[in-house]
Amino acid sequence: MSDTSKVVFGRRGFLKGLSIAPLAFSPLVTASRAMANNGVKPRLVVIALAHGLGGRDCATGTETNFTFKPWLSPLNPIKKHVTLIDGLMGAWWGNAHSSSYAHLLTGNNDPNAKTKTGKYSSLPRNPSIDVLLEKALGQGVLPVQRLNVGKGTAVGSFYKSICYNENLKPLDMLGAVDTNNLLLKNLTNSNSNTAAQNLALKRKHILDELNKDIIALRGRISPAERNKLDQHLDAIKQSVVNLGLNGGVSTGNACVKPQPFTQSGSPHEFYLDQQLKHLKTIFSCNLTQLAVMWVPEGGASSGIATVPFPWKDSTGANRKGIIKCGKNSFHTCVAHYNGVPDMELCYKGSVQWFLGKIAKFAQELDQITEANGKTMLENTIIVLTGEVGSGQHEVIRKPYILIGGSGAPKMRTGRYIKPASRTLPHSGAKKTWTTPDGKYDYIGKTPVSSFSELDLLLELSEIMGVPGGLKNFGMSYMINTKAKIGLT
Amino acid sequence: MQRRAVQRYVLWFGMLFSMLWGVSVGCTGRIGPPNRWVPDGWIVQKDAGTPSPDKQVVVPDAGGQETVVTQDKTIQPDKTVQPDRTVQPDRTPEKTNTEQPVGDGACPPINWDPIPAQVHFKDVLPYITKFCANCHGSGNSPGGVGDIELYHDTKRSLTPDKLWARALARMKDTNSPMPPDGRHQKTCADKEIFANAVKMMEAWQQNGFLEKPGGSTNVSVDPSTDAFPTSATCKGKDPLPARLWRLSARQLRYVLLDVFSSKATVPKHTLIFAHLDSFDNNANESLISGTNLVHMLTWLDPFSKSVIKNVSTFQSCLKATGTTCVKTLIATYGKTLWRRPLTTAENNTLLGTFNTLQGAGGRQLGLEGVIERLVLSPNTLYRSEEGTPVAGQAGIRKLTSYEVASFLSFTLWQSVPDDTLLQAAAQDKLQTLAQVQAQATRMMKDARAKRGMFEFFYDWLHLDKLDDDGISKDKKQFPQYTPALRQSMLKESELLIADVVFNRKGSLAELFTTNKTFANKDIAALYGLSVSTSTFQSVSTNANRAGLMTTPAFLAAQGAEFSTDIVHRGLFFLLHLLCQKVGDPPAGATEEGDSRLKGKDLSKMTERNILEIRTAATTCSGCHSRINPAGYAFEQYDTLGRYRTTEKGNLTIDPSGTLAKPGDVKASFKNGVELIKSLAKSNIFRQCFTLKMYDFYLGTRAKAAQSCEVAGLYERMKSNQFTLHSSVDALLSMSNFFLRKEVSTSTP
Repeated sequence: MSDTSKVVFGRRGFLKGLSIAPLAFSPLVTASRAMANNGVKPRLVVIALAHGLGGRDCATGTETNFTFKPWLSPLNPIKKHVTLIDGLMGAWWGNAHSSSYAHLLTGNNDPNAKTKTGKYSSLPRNPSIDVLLEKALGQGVLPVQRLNVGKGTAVGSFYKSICYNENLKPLDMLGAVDTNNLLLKNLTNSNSNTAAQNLALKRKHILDELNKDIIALRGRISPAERNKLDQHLDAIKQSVVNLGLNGGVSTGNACVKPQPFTQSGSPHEFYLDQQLKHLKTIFSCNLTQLAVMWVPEGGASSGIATVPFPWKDSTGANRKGIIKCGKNSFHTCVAHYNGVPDMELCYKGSVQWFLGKIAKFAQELDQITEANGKTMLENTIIVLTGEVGSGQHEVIRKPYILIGGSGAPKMRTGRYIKPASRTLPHSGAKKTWTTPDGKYDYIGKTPVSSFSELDLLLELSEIMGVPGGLKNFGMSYMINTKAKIGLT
Repeated sequence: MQRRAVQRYVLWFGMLFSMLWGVSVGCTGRIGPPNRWVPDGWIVQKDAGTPSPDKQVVVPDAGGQETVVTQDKTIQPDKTVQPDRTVQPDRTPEKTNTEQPVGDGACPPINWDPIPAQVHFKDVLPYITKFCANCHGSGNSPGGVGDIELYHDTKRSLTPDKLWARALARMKDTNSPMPPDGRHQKTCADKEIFANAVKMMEAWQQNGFLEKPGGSTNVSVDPSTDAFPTSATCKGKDPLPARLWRLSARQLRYVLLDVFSSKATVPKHTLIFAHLDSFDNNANESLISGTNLVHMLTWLDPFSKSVIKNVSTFQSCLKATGTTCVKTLIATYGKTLWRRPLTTAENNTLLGTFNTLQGAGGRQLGLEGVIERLVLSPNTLYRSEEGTPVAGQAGIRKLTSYEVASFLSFTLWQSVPDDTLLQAAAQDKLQTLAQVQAQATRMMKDARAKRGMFEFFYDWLHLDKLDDDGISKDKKQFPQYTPALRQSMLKESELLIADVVFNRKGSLAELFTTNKTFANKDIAALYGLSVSTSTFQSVSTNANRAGLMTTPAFLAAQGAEFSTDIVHRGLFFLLHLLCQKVGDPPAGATEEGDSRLKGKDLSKMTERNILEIRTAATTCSGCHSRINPAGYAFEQYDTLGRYRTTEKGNLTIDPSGTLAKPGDVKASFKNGVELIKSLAKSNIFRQCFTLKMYDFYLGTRAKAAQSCEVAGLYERMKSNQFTLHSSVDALLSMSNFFLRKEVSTSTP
């Protein structure tokens, strides 16, 4: 299928409406031109769950003729779009909860460098892959959109972000409320009224001038302080897109500004539903090619403990929601099932419920045809992962579910990939393998995947358009240099 | 690190290396290096970088780091990697009898002299890895250790001195040694290395479990780390680095209110921010994110419209023609917002904004653009503290008078300088202490000074939790906890602080012990007093109260939704009033605590009893033996701050306790008032208060390099009996009010 663009660019109408020639050539507007001229580009969204996707051995059969295990059954309607990888070795070994925020998208970790609060995670040693991809792919994809489901408001600098900038600072991830109020509230299009056009014009002009002011100021201050202004410059770039000032490209009629909402039902389910809708809007309005969505399951007031997800217990009885215990936390009462059948069934029921939401989202994307004749789902790679591979914190064979990607990314989909296994030589010593970052307990008896999640991220970066993939990403000793997973 | 110590480490590490690679007889009983597995085709190297396939393999050194060495053959799958020993660095220990078996009198006596050097975690890690990790490693941790090879896990597990001391004693115990069976002491070299491990670990404990060099340079009040500095013992008087310092959210709000008048629509939250461990104005952490910029742009539009509609100078300019009034507005408001006159180029570019937007959308749009651009400018959002070079003092910069004006006005008012101050700056009359003190004396008489002083307490005592959605209370139990009540709580605190500081010229101790406060009808109800109107009036509380810490504002802010929250009140006491350090809870602590309560009828137990049971486990009690007592002291105040003697019906509350590390605070107390009164006159509290002041007014944690500034600040305040009004003079006397350190030359 040709990638020839048939997109009608709102940017043109936008500028025409403005009638301000100098603005058309301002640096921030011209940045969007690259995107406009290159037609439909592949999109990537990584969606991460805290406790993973239910564990290994999640299907049976061959590469092209396979059957999902029950907890993956919601994916059946979109099976032809699925690439199930069962599974990949995690980038970090040990108690992943305490370090996953740092390593999940960076493939790296510095356990001795902690975040400001020192409560949750260590810090990575390189930026997260979304930041690196954004940089490598250049203008036109900016900025990455980062959403979280755990809270309605932004989380970031000091609370459980999984994305890190080039200064290794955690980046804000917008909650559903903020996504609606800050990111999407300001969407405008060429048909907007005069007031909206004036507002866009004013903001665009101010941001352009602010950009110049900061660059000038940056040259006058001490180098140690420049990173503050660098972040400010990034913020301007991000705001230009977030406010729709780059002449957001509408795809058909799918780019619709969302209505203000009122929260109802389980906060967790509500936030998840809203953020998936927002993702659809973000892609439909071409606010980015790259997105990350973080779905923590915990949290007293907004976690999955509030969701009455259905599941069947070991007697076959229908149950709803988490099993109650102590603090009623998903982490304790459900995810760490540790051989308790009902806990495991409940945990996998929650995964099944989540995948139902994702499948619905994917089907909605599959209804939108884009300029290259492919659907939005086909042009988008949805990567589902988790901090850990299962509720039991398995990190040596984490399942990854990829949905979509057969269009612009040119992936082969409808596949079940089970990388070869390998058993560690085990001499009796508890510790068998040392990472450069410190020693981590390793079970030593279990077969591990011959590919790591770094291999997947790097292969995806190549698919997204980085020639040869990203360099200097993650712990390089974990990268399989002899073979690829083979997504395309 | 001292050279001698380095040599000593090299020797020890060399010996350990030899142990690991030459004569290792560990749990495995194997001779040779530890097993290593590398997947097929994987490259193993020290860190990210360009690998050289098939030629490298990792070799651990004694420091726990890994070194890349060349190997002649490709790494084979399923085979233990056996690096070519010939390429190993020569680390032969100096001792010659290292492989001599242990026997009576066969080994030289161990030198048990303590290690004089400062020991950090990285120094003990190789020993922990070697001697401890196999049995106490991740997921398998007798003794309650998490992952013993991670600093924070190890530290928080071992910080209770008893556990650590017990472990060390076992390591030296010949009858019941640990590790058991003498498995690591089969040769003389083993014994010496093991002894060195014990000595290193002892030294690590003596040093306060330091993480890494430079990692604990903050000035501390906590006697378990460093003593509070005095002029005689302090380590440095370096000026702070030249810097940009972003306004806090509340500062920006005050700036807009002061500059554009309260007629403008100024949002309550001008910036979105996360509450920090430190103050919200921390210069290193305060940045502009994309989220914040969009947030600002969102409120700026209605804000600028409200300015044009309600502020007369803008109203009249909207109706005028030409650009004369526009130029005046730019110069006037620009100078106030940017805290200095604008250059010609800056005036012109702002006029350009007006012209561009006026051409596109009319005069209204042009004026809106000017206002928004002025506000969003980095010259508004960041305070410049770059200074200019000082002749004859290499690397030292002196703040300009305009920069000093900003520093002074944001210190005292949390807002921009007034015309008088800017005029003094224009005349360069803010370059001496006397000049600045004269301005400060004038400014302290302004109403804005009360606001400025309150900001410090608001941030320090986390009273921001009372604003908006900071902390909620159960509506069934506490229906009166409305937004209006929260604002009344804040108002009482504000009036109390202003009264003690500005009217009574009172001391820190007075603020924390006074029985005079202010109440309206709602606040009086919480105190059990009678006030009939919504207007605040001066009231006297009874002996069950003692100043700021027994106000409803403080107690509600530190209270939980359903109950009092002993733990967080206690934590606040330790962290923010004594400036002590408390470790993070170990993984699984909550679950373990809950399991201890199974089968108990909590409705018939006081919150104190429940907490005592929940935190009795060894893994919890180390920290909670410190935290809980301070929280118990406030149990006689419910989560709204109302005094009570019973809970859950008729269960009697016991507010007594004993502080584990009291410093010079009286350790045992009968109740909160007794604890507060002892605290208020203690040096440790004053020292902590001094550090908090430094952090807030300088926007950064006090480091050892500035410890003489802290010492000076403390001593000046002490000489003024910690009179809060005089604290301003003490602040102004810091060299940091005038000087900055040059970081390096900038390039465009």
